[in-house]
Amino acid sequence: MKTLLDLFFKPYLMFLLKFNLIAIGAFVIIVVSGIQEVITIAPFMYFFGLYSTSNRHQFKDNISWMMASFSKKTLMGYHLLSQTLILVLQVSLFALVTVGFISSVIFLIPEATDVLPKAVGLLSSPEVQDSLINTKSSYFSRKEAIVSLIAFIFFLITMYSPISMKDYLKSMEEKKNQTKNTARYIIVAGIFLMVAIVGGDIDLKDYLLLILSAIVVGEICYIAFIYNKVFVLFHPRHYAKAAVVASLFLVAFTSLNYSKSLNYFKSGSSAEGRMQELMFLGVLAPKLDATYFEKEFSDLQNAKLLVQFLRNKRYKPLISAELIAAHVLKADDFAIAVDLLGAVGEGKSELLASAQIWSHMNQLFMDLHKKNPASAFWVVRSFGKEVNSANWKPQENIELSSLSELEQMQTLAWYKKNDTKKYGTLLSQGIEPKVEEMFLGKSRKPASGDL
Amino acid sequence: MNPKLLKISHISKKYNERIILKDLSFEITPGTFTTLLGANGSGKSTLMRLMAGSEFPDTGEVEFKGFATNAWDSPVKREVFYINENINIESSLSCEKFVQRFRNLFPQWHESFFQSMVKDRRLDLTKNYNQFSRGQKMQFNLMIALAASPELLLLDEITSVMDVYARRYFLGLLHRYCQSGKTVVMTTNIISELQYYTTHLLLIHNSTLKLQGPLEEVAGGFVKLRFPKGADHSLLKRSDLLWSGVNGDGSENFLISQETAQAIDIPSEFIDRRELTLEDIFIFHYSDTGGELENAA
Repeated sequence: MKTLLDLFFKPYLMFLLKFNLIAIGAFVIIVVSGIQEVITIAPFMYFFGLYSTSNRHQFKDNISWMMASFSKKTLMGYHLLSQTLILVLQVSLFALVTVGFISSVIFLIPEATDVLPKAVGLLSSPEVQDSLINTKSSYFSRKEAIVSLIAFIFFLITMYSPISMKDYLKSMEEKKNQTKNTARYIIVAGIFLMVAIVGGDIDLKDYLLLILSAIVVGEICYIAFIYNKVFVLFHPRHYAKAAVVASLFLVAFTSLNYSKSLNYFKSGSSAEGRMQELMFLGVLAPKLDATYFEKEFSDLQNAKLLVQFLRNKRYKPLISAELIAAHVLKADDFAIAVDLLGAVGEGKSELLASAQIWSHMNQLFMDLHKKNPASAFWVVRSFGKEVNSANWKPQENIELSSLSELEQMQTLAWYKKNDTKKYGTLLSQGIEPKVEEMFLGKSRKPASGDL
Repeated sequence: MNPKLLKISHISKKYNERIILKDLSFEITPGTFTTLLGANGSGKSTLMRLMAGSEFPDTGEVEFKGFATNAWDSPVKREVFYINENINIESSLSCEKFVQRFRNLFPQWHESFFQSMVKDRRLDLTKNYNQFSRGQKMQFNLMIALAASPELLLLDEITSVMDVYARRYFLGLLHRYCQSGKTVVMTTNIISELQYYTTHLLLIHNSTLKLQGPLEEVAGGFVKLRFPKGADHSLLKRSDLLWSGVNGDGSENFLISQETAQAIDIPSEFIDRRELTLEDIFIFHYSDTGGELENAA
């Protein structure tokens, strides 16, 4: 065992030493450069590189000839011992170097601490944390725990690589490419398992760019080391290993973004920022207390974000009609108010029963009409669709002149569709010029077409 | 001396339902140079891997010095060394440093022998293994294998990448290695080069062992004929006459079974008195593989 350690493990240690010297040099340059994005991603790239050094422990590459001269006991014993040592070394080095790096950044460029500590979860303000009731235990009590566990199991599998050991130490029932295929199947199965676990809830749009970026990075790495061996850390023959490494890179990259978003969410200074991160976290976002969520949601200004929350099935139940009504009343753009209304769903008829809402919507309509009549025409069509979908009915025996312009249009549209006699009567009562222009305009088709 | 260094008992092996080897049994005795013959794809390399213990049979047993090669632990494992044409020693160390550590794995390591081989072949050990050419890599493999002094040296198609000088040098060493009581089992497609070193023969055909035993015993069974260039004789029209090659003077060699030769009258001038070659043996015993060999004539 000692000789095998001498033959294979010592050269690996030397390589690891060289790698870390280079990495530390790179970290120094990164700290000096002060580029926040690079500072954030550097620990993860270091992890990726550190893991890749495992390929430089060349024991497994020599097993084919060693099988003849060494017993299974010796080979397996050495393999387990060396892989454990490598694992311990890599974890320790990662902890040590990363903490050193972070400390340097905190002390040398405090302004960068806005980015860096958030990536590792160090500087969440106690006030924000306190306000996040029920979030403390959520991280490891939900699906994320299983996802993390799977990622860790994958890591162990690649470290101890029972696939290749099975190839050599058991009866080699399968041909070599079949064994490689087995490795690929396991990777694919693992990915599917992860997707299945988070599936149903996850919004792929949130992660699509992330996944595509990781795939592109993985492919570039693969092409690079296959064709010109730029990355001497890898061996070009080991495609299966490359796939595993790429998968791990994907997990690491996803974790990075997850970690970043989670910490931005926890320590963000504005409700806007925090809620944006919450949306990005998707299914991996922490569970939120309804009161906290209501407060954050009511502080939101960004209409697009409001609509996103209203359309998200996880958050939708937390949003009451009153909350939406408040946002509709706060909206200063007719199109946004209509969008908000469209995202409400079942509570829409409740909202449309409010005179205050109608009054505000009409005001917004009038404003828009003044600025851009063509745009107002199209937005009012959308508004009409929303009104129709809520099964809205005008009040009976209503005087058209007592209604606002917007109400007049919707009332006329309703009667035109459901009671043509009454529709004629209402028209004879006289309508607002704007309504006439929009609803019965000669130069364009009546806006009532869809109303 | 153990009369049964390696014992193969009823081994079979198949890959994905394709039978490679079927119920093979034989023994290898110490101090012999056994040549394993067979056509491409006949299962020679599979058999070598099974003997080496780097692969295991589906059924049957492979025992080296009484210990199963697939045992969890075996005290005699270090007495076997296996090299094939695809073996690459992967190490970031220079060959010199690699050997300094590697030799400690083999208690019988013969340092002066190793140094003499390095000197003879002028191999630069300060280089990394991957800086060597394919031929040099194979020479290095053979050097460490011989210096490790294993009781059993298994060599699978190792000579094709080496130049003629290197081949002769190492075959000579292997010959002397066997004379010192060690054992070599070797496969090659260049059969003629092993003619003068082979003491025993194994021949695989149709997944089974068609021939096994000392060379002088298995060489019988057929007669070698030699017809002058342009000869026209009724014997040449026989369908059971197997063409085996052309000589430098343009005369051609043919093989015919001992049985047939005794039954028909063969003029003595057509009997080739020269020693039978491994190639003759191979051609004769593979004659039922189809028209390939006959067509070659």
